[in-house]
Amino acid sequence: MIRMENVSMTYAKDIVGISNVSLHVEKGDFVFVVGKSGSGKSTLMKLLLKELDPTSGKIYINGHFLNEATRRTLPYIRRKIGVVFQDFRLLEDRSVYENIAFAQKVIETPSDQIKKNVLKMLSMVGLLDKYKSNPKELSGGEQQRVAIARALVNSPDILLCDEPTGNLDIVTSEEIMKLLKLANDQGTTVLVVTHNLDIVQQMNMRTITMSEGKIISDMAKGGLAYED
Amino acid sequence: MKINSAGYQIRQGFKNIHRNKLFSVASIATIAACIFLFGVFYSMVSNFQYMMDNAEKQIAVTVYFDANIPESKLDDIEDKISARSEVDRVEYTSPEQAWSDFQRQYFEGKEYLAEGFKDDNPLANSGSFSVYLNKAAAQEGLVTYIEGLDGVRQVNKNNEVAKNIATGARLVEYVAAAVIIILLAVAVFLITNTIVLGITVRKDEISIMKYVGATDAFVDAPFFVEGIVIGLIGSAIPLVVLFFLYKHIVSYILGHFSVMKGIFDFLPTANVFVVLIPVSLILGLAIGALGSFFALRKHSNV
Repeated sequence: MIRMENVSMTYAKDIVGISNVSLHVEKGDFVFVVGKSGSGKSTLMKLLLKELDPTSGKIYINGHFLNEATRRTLPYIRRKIGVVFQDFRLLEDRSVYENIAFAQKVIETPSDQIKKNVLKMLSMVGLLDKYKSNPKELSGGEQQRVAIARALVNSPDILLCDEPTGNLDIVTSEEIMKLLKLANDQGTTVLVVTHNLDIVQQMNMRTITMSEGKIISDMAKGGLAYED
Repeated sequence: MKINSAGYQIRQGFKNIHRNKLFSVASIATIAACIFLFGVFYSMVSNFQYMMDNAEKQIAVTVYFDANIPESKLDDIEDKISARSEVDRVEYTSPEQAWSDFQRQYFEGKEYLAEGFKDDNPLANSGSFSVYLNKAAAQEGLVTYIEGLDGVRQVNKNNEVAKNIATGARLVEYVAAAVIIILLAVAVFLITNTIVLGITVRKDEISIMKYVGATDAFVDAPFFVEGIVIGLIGSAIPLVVLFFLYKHIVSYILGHFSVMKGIFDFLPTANVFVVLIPVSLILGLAIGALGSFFALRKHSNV
């Protein structure tokens, strides 16, 4: 599902983003990527979204060779990748329903299907009663649930989450993790970048630890090679 | 792109205009000013050219023939000259006509002076063709051609007038083209800035669109709609103003300065606007599309 082979990425002035990273995530996996600030987690995420190009090495996503994706082909690869950010990135000039429907509209899903899919997602994240609300009227946890619904509405094969609980308290973070686990149980491969070690330990899933741009450990169940 | 999506893009385009009202109005005003000036220049240049064309058509090259040239030879020369593309028309002046014109011009009031010639026409060998041109600049080449024709004795030309008219027409064309190009560049620059502002305001939305897999065409379309609509509105407003101004100014000049009638021959309103309307609308559309293109090329990457 995700394969990185000896991937390195160096920013200008020789600042190393990641160095010689190899990684293999199977279909249906749930993987945490942890590490201190500057360990390369965000660079890894940006490479998987092709916001950045690797300096060397190969990246495959969902069978596509990402290095060679063009402006024309990239949108179709991204349609099968859902993304969740720490700061939710909801559009505040439209309602909860419209935020989720927006993701379907931009990939030109027929209107009758949009309604069906959005309602299904709202029901999954438990926000059916708030479909008319403006994101500003919601709590942080609710906003993140809307963001997850938006990321999942196009039925992606992979869900990439960048610090999804970074702005949330512990209880809300657990709720968000339950939602991600639910998506995973339904077949979506989930990769979560986080520094919330409590959550990582609670979830007891495969955990990759990064430091100074390198993978220093890849543990099958909840093992951590660094302490916060 | 699906029809459903096209409707969405058009709505988004209009929403963008509404969201950036102030800048949209500023862009429309700038394009309107540019197209207005373009229209004024176009009206002036087309009228000037129309007058020049008329003046050019008054320029004649006079062709004299060998003595006792047979009529069939004259017809042959006339046919050859008429066939030239730069020739507007050819008029024949017979020796009798030439002599009669001469008497009228020089012996007026002293007709007795001509009586000495009786039936003897002193201009018997002065039959001529007056060859009128449709482009003054072509005179030199035509004269060379006619001089080479068999049976032609002499060709009189008016170099100075032809040269001045051709230079004048070219100068006006160059100045107008330069001013118009500068104005259009300013318009494109301003509309680019308006679209950039729209992109900046919608940066988050664009980035989300790209993350969920919107194609470039889908992301860019509303901005093209915005640019094109601004361009079209910006060109339609001055066209209406120019239409009424032109109509009234021409009729005012001809009505109040009757002396102008003989000197200036204005193009009818319909003749000016049959070209100005489509050209201005296409220009407005192109300025809008080009402005959007430059703005998107620089700022829509995520």
